[in-house]
Amino acid sequence: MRYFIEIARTGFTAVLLHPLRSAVTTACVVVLLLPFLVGLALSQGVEEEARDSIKFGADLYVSGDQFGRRVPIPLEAVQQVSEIEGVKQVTPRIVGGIVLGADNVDAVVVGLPIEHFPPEVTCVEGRLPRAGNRNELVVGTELAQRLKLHVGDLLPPFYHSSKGDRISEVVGLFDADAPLWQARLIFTLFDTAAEIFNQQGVATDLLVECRSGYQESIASTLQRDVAFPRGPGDGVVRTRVTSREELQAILPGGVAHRGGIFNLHFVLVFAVGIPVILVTSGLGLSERRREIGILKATGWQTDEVLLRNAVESLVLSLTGACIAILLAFVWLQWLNGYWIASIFLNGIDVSPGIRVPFRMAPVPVLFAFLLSLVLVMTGTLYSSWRASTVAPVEAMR
Amino acid sequence: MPLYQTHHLCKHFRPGTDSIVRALDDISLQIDVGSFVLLRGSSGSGKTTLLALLGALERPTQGQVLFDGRNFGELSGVALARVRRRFGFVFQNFSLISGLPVWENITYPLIPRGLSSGRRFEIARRLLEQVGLLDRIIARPRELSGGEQQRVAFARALAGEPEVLLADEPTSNLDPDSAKDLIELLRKSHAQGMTVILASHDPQAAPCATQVFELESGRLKN
Repeated sequence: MRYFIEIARTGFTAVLLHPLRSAVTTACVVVLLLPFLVGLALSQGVEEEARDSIKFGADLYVSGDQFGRRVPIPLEAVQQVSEIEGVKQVTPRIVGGIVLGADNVDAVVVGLPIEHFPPEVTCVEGRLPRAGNRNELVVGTELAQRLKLHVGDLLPPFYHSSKGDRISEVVGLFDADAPLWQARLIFTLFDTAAEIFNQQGVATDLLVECRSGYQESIASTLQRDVAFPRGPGDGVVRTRVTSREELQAILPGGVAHRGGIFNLHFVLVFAVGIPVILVTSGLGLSERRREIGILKATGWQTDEVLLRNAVESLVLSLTGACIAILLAFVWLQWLNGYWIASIFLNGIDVSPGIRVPFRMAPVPVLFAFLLSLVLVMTGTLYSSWRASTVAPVEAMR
Repeated sequence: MPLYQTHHLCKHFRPGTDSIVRALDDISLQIDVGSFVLLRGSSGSGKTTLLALLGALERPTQGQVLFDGRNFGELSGVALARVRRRFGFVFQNFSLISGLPVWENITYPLIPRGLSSGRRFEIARRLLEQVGLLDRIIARPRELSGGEQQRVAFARALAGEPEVLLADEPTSNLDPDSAKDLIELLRKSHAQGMTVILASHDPQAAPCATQVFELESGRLKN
């Protein structure tokens, strides 16, 4: 045991024997791992936020369905759905995308009856739209910052409807428990949203709250019995019901899909990283070869030399991974994902005005250690093995 | 009693090409236990190559090296590494590891033997006392003169209590006084029963030798 400990100890000291090489190799590991860790932490943060939104959202989401496609649902459905046994509350909602400003900033308009505005939305400035008032908007703080909007600003002409061009007024700026909402959402009254999109008499979906134990029976009643004529010759609109549990089940798939694309990109970076480490580990290669030659000439066996170098690589990879994890945390926690969050999250500015959601989960952190180890080992052990398998005299030349 | 026997030993570089270099050609010799062997010859005569073959630092192109009855050519890499632990080497260019302090340089060969750093430090102290460099125990090689570096290299060669000490032109980079000191250290080691094989031009070494082999263009001179 002492034999291994003593050889391992020389691996530790070997890190300091070649400070330039150690520093450059560690820096390479950090540069490769840092975006990976930050990206995964942001992805986990967004997933967690989405989970919370689903958790505190409606029991059922009901939209129209035609030819297997999601379509708006007529407002008559509100009455019909309310009459189903076990339904506590039905809220019509309009959700739609718009483009704003000279820079064509994407935003999402959410129209709800004022009494059903989500409680987690609170105005930090101004007020919520008043019942009966049209064309009043409450804008997320981050979106307002990007568009340079303030309370009282008018947006002329904000939309063009069948009733002509309308001017809308920003009456409030909101903060939300889910910070990403602040980056993209505009809340308004249901009727205003209907005018913005020029879609009277329909909602994009209905949010249905159920009494305990009724959720399944309501869902099956909706799918089986509820349908609406959409208009002459347009056929029938059936309902499509998505439960909270189904949303929760779908969410990881979506996140995993994005994560998969991200991982794929990272594999490419990783593939580039190995030769980079190979090159950097070549710094001071002749000195290292000579050193290995001296060790072999003085009685070290090849496996002992390799063990020493493996410990050295292990120390370098652990150091690189630890620094990368620490920097990722600092970047997200203290620098609030400055610049990098805008790359990973849609609708976020270079200097985010919101608290960027992130979570350093244990699995990506462990994975980072593993990646780092594979990177450094692959990059360094080959050259060590080459040097330690030639005749000592040759290595020392 | 023979410690070494070589039979028709050859070392060729770039064999099979027009630019073949016959560093050693058909060397057959015998070295007895406890002898002080002097390998003499001009530069390029093959002294260093012969020393490397005797020290199992290189494999011959042809022929055999028998050490203590064992043919190096038949030994595995691990067995050769273990045989090398019975040798101590002193190289012409010192071959110290520049980033390590003197005491670590001396006892680095002992690490695979599982000795603790405390024990190794004690061994280094004893050896540095022998070579007169105890006050430089934590110095780095770059802080030492050539003569001091060679004495450190000599102490490293003795660290594993070798049976054979192989020294390749150890005095060629030293001033006359340092060279004299080193020859004296070699002589003392021989007096303690060690077999010493020295490749050197240095005339000071000649009186110590019990066996002399003269090399010319890779061949033994009669």
